[in-house]
Amino acid sequence: MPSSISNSNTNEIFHRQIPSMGWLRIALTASFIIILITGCWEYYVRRLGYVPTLNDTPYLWSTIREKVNTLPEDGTIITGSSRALFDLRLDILKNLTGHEPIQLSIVGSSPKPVLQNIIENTNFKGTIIVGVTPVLFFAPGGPPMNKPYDWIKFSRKFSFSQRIGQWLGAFLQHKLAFIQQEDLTLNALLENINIPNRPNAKLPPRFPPFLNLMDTNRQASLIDMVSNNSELQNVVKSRWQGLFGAVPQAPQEAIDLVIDEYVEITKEMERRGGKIIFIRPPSTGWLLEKEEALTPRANTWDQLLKRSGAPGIHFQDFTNQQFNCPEWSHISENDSYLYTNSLMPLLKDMIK
Amino acid sequence: MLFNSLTFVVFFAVLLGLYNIIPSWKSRKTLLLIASYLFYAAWNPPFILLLWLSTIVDWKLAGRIAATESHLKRKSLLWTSIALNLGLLGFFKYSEFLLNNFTVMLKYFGINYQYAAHDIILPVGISFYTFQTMSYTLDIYLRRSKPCDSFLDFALYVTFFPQLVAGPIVRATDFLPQCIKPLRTCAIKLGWGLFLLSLGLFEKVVLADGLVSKPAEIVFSATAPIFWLDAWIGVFAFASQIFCDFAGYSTCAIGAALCFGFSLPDNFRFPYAAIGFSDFWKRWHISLSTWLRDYLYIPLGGNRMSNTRAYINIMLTMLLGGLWHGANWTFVAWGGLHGAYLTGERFLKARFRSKVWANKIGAKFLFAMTTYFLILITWVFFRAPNFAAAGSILASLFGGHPEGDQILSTLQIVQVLIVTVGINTTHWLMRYSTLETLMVRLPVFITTILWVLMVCAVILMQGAGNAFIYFQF
Repeated sequence: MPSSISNSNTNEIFHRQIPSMGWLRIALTASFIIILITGCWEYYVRRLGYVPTLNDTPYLWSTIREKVNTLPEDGTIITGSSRALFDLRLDILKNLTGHEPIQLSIVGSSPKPVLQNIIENTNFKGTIIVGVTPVLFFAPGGPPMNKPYDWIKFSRKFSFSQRIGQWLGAFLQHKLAFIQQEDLTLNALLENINIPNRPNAKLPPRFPPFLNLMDTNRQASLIDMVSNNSELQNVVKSRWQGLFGAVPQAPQEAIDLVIDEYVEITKEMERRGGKIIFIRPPSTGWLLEKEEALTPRANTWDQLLKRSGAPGIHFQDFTNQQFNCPEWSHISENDSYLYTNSLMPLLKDMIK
Repeated sequence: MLFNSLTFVVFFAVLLGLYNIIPSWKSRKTLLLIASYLFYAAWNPPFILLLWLSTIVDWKLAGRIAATESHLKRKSLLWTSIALNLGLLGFFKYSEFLLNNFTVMLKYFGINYQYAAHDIILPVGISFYTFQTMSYTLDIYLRRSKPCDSFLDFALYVTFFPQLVAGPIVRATDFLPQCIKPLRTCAIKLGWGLFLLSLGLFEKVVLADGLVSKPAEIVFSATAPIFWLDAWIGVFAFASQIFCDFAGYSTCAIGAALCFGFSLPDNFRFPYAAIGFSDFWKRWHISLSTWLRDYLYIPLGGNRMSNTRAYINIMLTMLLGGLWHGANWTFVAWGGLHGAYLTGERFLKARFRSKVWANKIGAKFLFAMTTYFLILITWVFFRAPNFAAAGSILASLFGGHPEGDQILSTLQIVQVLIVTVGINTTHWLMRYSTLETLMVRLPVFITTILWVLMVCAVILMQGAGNAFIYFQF
């Protein structure tokens, strides 16, 4: 057992040894160098094309989730995955009801946990627009559920100090381009070091690099760097191939069970006087073919609409519009305006 | 509120500023007390009431213990304090564990009992501040110290924000005398304090969270058997993570306290350079191990009775020490292993201490390696969610799954090895020294460069503000 470190003589005052150095000079010099290095790093990343943007974190999501409690009865919520985040414009959708929609979509996730969270914890009876990325939407479980459950759990314990942290963080993120949690952290930079892995290593596929800008309402947009740079597009496409290539084929029985759950959710919304509208945003190329192979439209989307009775808009039903997805999965910022505008007449009819 | 958060940076800066412009010492202590309550309330405001309860109860009871000479009355007041504090701890931390085990026991006798589900939130820091207030009452009872005259000082001792939620568990005899004469921030304390804060954040944000936590998480959450290399890397990763996380917190706490002029004791002294397990416990979570020694092991009789009784006392102390960490039998197993190591060491020391070969450098080296190896084994139980997972990891460690999954990337393996070798090398180089002694010897420009590198690494890591592991205790 260790010897006592306690001062049992109450007359003696416990003091730590402090190295006697010119601490003021050291601190000032270090501060100056730190600011200089940080400034240089900021300049460098901006030269690479990065711009300040908000990071999509559970903190930001929680601030938006809280707004559900104060939504008017005819309000609109959007949930889904990244396509619902990038492809739908909140400022245009505001014209549906006069109120800006609340964006609760989560990248790489099934919308089911968020829908269940709204149904079970709120009295919301407006409209929920659900973005359908088939492989994520119809997933019976697994990774597409993890992030939404984690973020919902986080939002329940969103403390006062975390709110202040979010406010402070947002302030810095609006000013500094290097605050990019996906791409420019030390960990993310280390991952760019190409060290061959063991041939038998079972490793998860790598996610695409930084793809979007985001504002305080969680309006996301595909960055110009990806829209205009074919080399970067190819990097993103190769990551999609790694990610979607690793997805196992779900048995139809499992998909049917998932559809049943969405039917339940839809019915509950209707019982309260609300509405769910499903939207299948565009995808192209190899990814579209892969999605059709894993989740054929006839067995998934068509079944979903038929059994739930809910209205839906599939991008392939736009016979006179073609939307380009530079990296197969998301449309450019400019096209997102066109896409959302083209949805508006249909959505207005569906909400009536 | 976490040290590794922007909110804390602002909180700390504002508090430091206000602290140094308020002239009156009493007002400055009051400011620190209010700030400490705000610090705690930022997590969950209602639980401030528990903090107040613990503070007021022990203040009153300790005062009455000191005022009475009746042995019976003193003892009953002491047991009231212990019952209340352990009762709080037991309810919030162990009620579900006890109910679970009660249910299992009844099932063994064929009784199917299901308790009503309840969701009790564990108040952050409860294991630390209840032990801290109990130590004050115990010291009064044992006549090791006099009662404090000032409720303000005592409340500040219990609540002082740097050490409130994850230690060090500070003794009243170390803290209260510092409250008597006015303390101020001075350049030397502020400079060293900020350096320690930076070092603590570097350990936590960069080393623990950034470089080793993910490999540890991957390995310990694996559902299928894993390859031996991945298992070892996962264990090294967790060993580094738990040290950097916890020592990082303690370093931040010491640094933050120093900025206000307060000295907190060391909580870690290069534990991975331990030679033997009693040496390890003189270096790891020192404030807890001395608390257990002074208030559990020694009152049980320590080593003043027979050898057998000493072994029992060690085992009991370490089992309870394990349970303190969490409401799970794996923590008890962790404590039990340490108890077994300590008793084994005591047994062997009695027989071989005087032997010449036992004091040679080769033997010490072997003993040190054995110590580190056996400590790594205990971390498997500490980290694994249950015994099945711990068993699977242990089997993998010793080649039990030659076809096990290889689940770590080469980069992760390299990262963990670099951090592990770095930590162990540092510990061995610093084994007989202190950080303060080292800093005095280093050239100023090296100190400056180190400080710059640490802060830049923290900024670059852009931590998501992960909670310290010991917050869950």
